[in-house]
Amino acid sequence: MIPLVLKAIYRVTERDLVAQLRSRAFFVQTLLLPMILTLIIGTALGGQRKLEPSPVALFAPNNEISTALTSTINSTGIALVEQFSSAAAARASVQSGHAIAVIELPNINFRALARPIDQSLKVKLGLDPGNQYRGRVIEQVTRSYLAQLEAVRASLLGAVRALKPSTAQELGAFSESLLPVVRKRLTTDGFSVSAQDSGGRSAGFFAYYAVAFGVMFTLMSATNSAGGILDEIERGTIMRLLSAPLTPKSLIVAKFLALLVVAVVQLGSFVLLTALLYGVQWGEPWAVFCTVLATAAAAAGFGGIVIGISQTHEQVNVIGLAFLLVMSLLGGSMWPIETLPGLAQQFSKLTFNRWSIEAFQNLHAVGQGLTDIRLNLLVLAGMAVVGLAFGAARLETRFKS
Amino acid sequence: MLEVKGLQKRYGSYVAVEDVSFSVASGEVYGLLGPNGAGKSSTIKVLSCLAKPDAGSVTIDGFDIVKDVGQVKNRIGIVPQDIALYEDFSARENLLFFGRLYGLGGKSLRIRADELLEDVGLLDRARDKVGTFSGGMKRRINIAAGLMHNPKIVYLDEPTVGIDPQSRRLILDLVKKLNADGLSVLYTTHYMEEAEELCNRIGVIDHGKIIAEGTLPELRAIAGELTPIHIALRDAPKAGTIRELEPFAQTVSLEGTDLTLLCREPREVLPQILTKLSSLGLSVHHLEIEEPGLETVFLKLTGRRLRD
Repeated sequence: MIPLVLKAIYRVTERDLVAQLRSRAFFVQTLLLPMILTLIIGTALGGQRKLEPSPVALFAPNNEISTALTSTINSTGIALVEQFSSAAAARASVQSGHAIAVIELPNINFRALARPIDQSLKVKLGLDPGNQYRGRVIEQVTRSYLAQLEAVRASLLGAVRALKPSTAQELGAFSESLLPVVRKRLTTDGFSVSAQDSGGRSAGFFAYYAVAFGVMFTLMSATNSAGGILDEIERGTIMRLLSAPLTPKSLIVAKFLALLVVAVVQLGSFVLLTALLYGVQWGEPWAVFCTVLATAAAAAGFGGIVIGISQTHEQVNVIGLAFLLVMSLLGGSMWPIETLPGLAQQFSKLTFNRWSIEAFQNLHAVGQGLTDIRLNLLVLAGMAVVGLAFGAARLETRFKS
Repeated sequence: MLEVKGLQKRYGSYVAVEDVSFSVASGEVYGLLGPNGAGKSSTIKVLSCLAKPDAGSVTIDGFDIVKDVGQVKNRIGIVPQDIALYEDFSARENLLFFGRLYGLGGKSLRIRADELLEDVGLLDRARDKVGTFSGGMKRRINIAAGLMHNPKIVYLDEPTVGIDPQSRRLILDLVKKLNADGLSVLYTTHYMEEAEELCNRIGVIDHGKIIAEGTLPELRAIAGELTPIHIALRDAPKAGTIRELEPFAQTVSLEGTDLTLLCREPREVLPQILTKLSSLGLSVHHLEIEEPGLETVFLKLTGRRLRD
């Protein structure tokens, strides 16, 4: 026999869902807007198609070192090196917004490299501030290549000094004999980046932002639902509900369940649409479902916090918006968390966006399974419970007073 | 059916209900009469299990409202002062929803909804959204919603506030019909004529206390043979005016420019009162001799009018 309070919870949840399904605003916000947004970002970011490589301007003498660096950068897949005949032209290419970075190499070749010259390799690197994300990747690739170049050179010079050649002629002959080894080391066996899909998944911007926006939309729904409880208070239906077999706690559970269903549909539609329209492979279906469910529950918990703090619709809107913006900014819904300063990255752990987006990314891009993302799911579930408990306690206190 | 003993309810330092005791017998209509802010709605809130009493005890059908909340909730029906309905739902959907909250379902639930829709005269509008209804129609559905689960006692909290005469008549007739069917009713109002028409017994509440209780004849006896005379003056009188009028009336009260006198022989003393007022330099804007009733009782007990 089902207790009466559970039946009442079910009825309130059902009523809320029916009311929302009839509401045009709900249809637009929960289903239509996510669809349109998916199509827009899918079109803008090219869905699952690989991103076009961005130009990188290179001013360097045409020798084996510049050729090897060009080959290394091109192998990343995100950049394509364009050779310039003057440093000014290369810099102008970045300033005009054509290239995302400029690299200026000194006039040095393998032959010079094998000689005991006492000068370090000075490379100039300039980045376009508008393309820092890719620019930083190019910077890292260049630095790694140069570090390897320096390491080879240092070991070469060490070997030359250890052998102590007695004449310049002897040293020259020795260097010449080493040249094929150095060339092979830095070109054939040299540093390279291999960009390839992992397990058929490619972590594109599209997949990232699709889920990042999806999470943000669930926050918006949560804010709206918090306003729904105030509606009950303002129109007096809460009196009738609480004089029926419901308590403030069970009422907020009923509201929580309704929001949970809405958030699951909303976030699920993002996941489903991106998979159907753009072929995004989100990963293990059961793990994806659990992530959607945990995210939706955390969003509902967020609704509990908003209703716990707010007394009026105006407060719900202001507080809800403030929370939404801060959590989205810090939590990775606006830009990747990795691009944030260190302290902000720590604060991002307080946002449920971070834990959700990270879980989706780990499933989608890294190919992890349910057990690998259990910490994310636990944190999201914990946020849901805390939010729900806070909202229920505050509602009960408010009603008693 | 309902036993209230020494009920107290405070909100912080504000005492909403100080010491309220009354009982409602099975099949009785009990009126709780008092001005706005007297403590009627706070009393109803406690009786509806929406707030815990700070002192005193309340039992409904033998069940304590604090210890046996579940049993109590099944026995009470509440009709709040505000329209507690979902405007985006039809009249029938509202009734079905509130019935389902109590675990009702199936054919019997739909039959019950249609019965009540007929009782409140809105069966033909059953499918229309409540948001399209007039104030009076909403009030009628508001009552029906509180009756869906067949409660043993229903609390009607000022159910006729701000509605048209036709809806008011329908509501009063509905209460009589429900009572005739055996339902106990706790009816709060500040309209004394409604209390006089509907209630078997009346409790007069003021400042969170029951100041008088009884049947209508019993309460009238409290007022004795006194008749209220209400005089609206053009200008506020000086201090001491009340003393000048005391020889003509049992009690004299003044609020702003409104003067109220309780007199035994109003028609005989009225000319003397008017002469006195004229001699005091006060001109009369409006004058009314009221028939003795609950208003008189309230005036005699508190010195204030019920609708103040």
